[in-house]
Amino acid sequence: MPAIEIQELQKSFDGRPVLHRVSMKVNRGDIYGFLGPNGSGKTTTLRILLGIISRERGKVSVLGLDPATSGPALRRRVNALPESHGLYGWMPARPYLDFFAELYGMGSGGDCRARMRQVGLDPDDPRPVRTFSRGMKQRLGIARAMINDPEVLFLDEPTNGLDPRGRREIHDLLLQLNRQKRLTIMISTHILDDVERLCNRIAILDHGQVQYEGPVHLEAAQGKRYRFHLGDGNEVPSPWNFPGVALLERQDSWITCRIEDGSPAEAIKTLVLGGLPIIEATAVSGGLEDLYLDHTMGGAV
Amino acid sequence: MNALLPLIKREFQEDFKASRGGVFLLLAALVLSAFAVLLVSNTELSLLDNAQAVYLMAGIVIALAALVAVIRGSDGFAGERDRETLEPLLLAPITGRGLAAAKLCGLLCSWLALFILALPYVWAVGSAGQNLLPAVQYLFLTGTLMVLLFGGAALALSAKMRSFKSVLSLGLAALLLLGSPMVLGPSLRQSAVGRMLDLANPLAAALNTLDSVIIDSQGLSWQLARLTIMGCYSLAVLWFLRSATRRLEP
Repeated sequence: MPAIEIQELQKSFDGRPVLHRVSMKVNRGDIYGFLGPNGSGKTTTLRILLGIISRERGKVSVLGLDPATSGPALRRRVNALPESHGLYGWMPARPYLDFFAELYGMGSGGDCRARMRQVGLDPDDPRPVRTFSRGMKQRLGIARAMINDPEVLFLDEPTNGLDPRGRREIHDLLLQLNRQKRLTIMISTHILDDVERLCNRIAILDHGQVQYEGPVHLEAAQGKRYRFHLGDGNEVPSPWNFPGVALLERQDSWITCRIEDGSPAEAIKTLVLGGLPIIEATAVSGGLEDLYLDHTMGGAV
Repeated sequence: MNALLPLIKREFQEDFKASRGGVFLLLAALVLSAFAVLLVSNTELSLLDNAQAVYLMAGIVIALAALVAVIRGSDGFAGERDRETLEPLLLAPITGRGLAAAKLCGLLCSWLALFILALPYVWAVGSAGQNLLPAVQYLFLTGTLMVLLFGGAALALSAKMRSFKSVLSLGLAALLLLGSPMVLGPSLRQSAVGRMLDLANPLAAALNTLDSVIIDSQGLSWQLARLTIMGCYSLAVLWFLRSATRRLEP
């Protein structure tokens, strides 16, 4: 049974559709990246999965439970870090965690100290949370999200605002939790580096629709991309008829292609023999950023 | 139930550890002190008999309780939304109604603190006269009903509306509207319209109950109708709160 399964999910606010027939599946132990521009419906999807807002149509299952009807029971087994920290500025960190531990019926004390140490915070720090840096607040948020030892963890922009070292530490922590406890993690983020470092699968959401769902390692899924300079005055043949090489973009005497079969050298040979006078070839990343841009800006793939 | 206790504890802590609770109590103490000084030092007010002084002081306490209930009730959900602290609570295994119950208990804790703060003032202006004990008992009873009514209504609105300022404006407007018949002269209040307003107005019912107990020395049987009206309003508000928090959204 998958940890999370969504089928044909639909939701609108004030008559404006926000999610349109969203379907996806997250397996247990996955670190699943959930990408999309602002307003694409990522946070709404996460909130529906957590049972804190209702859906209109579609089926949703998290750990085999329907969040709409089993909200409190589900939330004992999952947890989340919302985009806003939602911390009480007047409380020190330890009482804050104790409070949430008590809400989950776990009692305060030892576990909270261990959680704080795990995320690199001092359990005896008496300062109120409002004096914490953004990174410390983020760590405390993660400690809160781990307080009930969840089976599935939802993270909304977990490294937003952190410096590179802080981000790396959060990455390491999440990878450690995933490996040690087989924790399923769903990360909604704009930071593609997070996704490349952490996730094994991704979904790209745009205008409330899933535009891509699949592996994050794109060479396998997407092929390699090259940019070729044809020299001034050379026309790109139309129709394009080079097997194993797809034309993605043309701009003046430059073309961008995806090499679908064979090595780059073979592809260049095919193009040259086909009459394209290539004078310069540059590998472009062909990475997650391109995939993201292609699926969120209407680019050809 | 297990989750309610830490929530109530947090509401209580927020009242006394966070700055806002301390500010409320300090302001309440200043208002009560200023009024007590007026009652004993102002030439005209000092001529009032003991029962009238106690009634005025009790009226001030009821007004403060209703005001604090409206402010804190408005902050209950809408304020937490503004501060973005509501979502982590909704992520915990608690129902919206559980949260509402905890917040209502928090309001009652604030009222209890205000009531305890007010006791020395009531005693100071009324210790030499009669009816001090019934005054204190009915002050507690009517104050509790007013806090349930105004605080519950503000909480319910705050669950439905997204902005703290909007809820607070609406709550204060309702409080002023219900308080305005109090400023009608005695003859207008005795008119048919005045009587109807008094009958339908829970705030008037509370103050008239205190008037009847403290000044007219009337017993429980005289108060039953007004207490029933206040009780019915409070039950209606609790029902409204229950339905408003059936599904809370961040």
